[in-house]
Amino acid sequence: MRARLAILWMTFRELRKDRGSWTFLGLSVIWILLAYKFADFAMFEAERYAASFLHAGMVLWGVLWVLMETLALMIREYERKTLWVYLSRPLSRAAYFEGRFLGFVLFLTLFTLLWILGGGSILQLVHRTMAHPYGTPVDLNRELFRLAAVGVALALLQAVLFFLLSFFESPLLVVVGGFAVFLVGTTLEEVYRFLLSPTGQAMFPASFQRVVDQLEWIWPHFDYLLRTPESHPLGIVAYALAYIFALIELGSLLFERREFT
Amino acid sequence: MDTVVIFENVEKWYRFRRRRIHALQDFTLSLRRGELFGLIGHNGAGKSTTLRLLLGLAFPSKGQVVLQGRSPRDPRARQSLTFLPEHPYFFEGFTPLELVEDTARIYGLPRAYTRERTRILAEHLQLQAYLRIPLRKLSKGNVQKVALLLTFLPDPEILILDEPLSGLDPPSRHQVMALLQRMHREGKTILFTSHILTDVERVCTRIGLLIRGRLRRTLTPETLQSSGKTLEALFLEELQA
Repeated sequence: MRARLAILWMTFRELRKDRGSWTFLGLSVIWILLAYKFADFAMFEAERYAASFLHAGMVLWGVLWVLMETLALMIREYERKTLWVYLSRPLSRAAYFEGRFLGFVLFLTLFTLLWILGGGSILQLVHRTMAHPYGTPVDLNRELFRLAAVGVALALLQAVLFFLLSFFESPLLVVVGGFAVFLVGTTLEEVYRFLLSPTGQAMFPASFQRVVDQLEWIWPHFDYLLRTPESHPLGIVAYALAYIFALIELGSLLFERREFT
Repeated sequence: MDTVVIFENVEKWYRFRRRRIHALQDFTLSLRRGELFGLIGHNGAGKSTTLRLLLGLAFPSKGQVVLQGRSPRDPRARQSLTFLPEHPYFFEGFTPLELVEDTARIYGLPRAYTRERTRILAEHLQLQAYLRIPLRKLSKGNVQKVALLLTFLPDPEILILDEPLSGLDPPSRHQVMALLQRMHREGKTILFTSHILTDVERVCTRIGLLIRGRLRRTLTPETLQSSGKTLEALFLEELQA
């Protein structure tokens, strides 16, 4: 546990001191402030537009942050062999792997808190100054929960990247692979629904539909987290946390057996 | 003297386009406690592979490696071991002191001990003025010294040093060699690789010549002296054989 905590804290400090992290935090603050201005253009629907703008911004900057920082910190460490130094110390590879992941998650927690606090303040402000009786009402608590769910989705993406890092050597494969998993995970549900429609059934063979059906079970469903349906919001978060746990444990096992060149 | 490192008939090969590329062949070596062993070889001779096997970063294709009676993959075997890579790189936003803190946390070193040991080592390596400066602002030589400080910090029983003198100016090289000799006198086991054969010749109690993946010869200062040749001459002779 001591080694895991040491690696966690070291990773968090690296991210805190990295210029890239501050750039993304700065861009996030600008985006949050822009949400107020954007709502101003939306007439009756100011609240709904502001909420959507915030949600989209958190997904955009969050995904970019996760991809860029993983590339910047982890891959550099692999390529310049700093990893050799850490793994030659008296700690298990699992401790290193999990500590590194948890360090990223700790920083993501701060990133999510920034969006929840900043976004919540902006939504309150829009509600007080621009809410219109004909506009669609926005439930503040639900919107904040949706932002928190984006944070969980980012942690899931981080877990996917770490899982890929456990066996891939090429930085490009890790980032492209991670982004591809994210893209497929956000569109899988739509693809599946399309395949069930009469047009989809006419266009694609039944075997393809079966493949997508199976993928639905094993692929990380970013779509659920980003849409956060009202019927079972906590279930979705529990699903993501279980998926993260499974990915990191499996990644640890692969990392433990990996050879470094 | 007890044996702390054993390579027993180790072979290491990689597969490349369905062909086996041998990095190490029939490699047998034992290091006794308190030895200062220099491993020399040409580029691609297998020095890095040897170190990776010893650190548990790679696994032997055949034979076995034993570190302090355990597999090198067992973290307990590395409890009193430190490693210095050839071109050390650490996150450039960190100061040497922050790296010291992280290293101390991983090894579980007490704070007072860490503070005192850092002071002594920084004095030896003439790093006192740079301890609070981010690495990105330090010269290559000073970064190498910071890496050395981290290597010596936990007062390890076994030191694995890959080209510890690279990037250092002559006075710094002298200081580091003095520090290594001092640690050797204290009974530490040191394995290091170097291209600077005169330094190896000067300080090592045993020298291994690694040629094309095979440990061709091991020499002591006495056998070297009785051969009447310099280490460089012997090395070139073996290389051409």
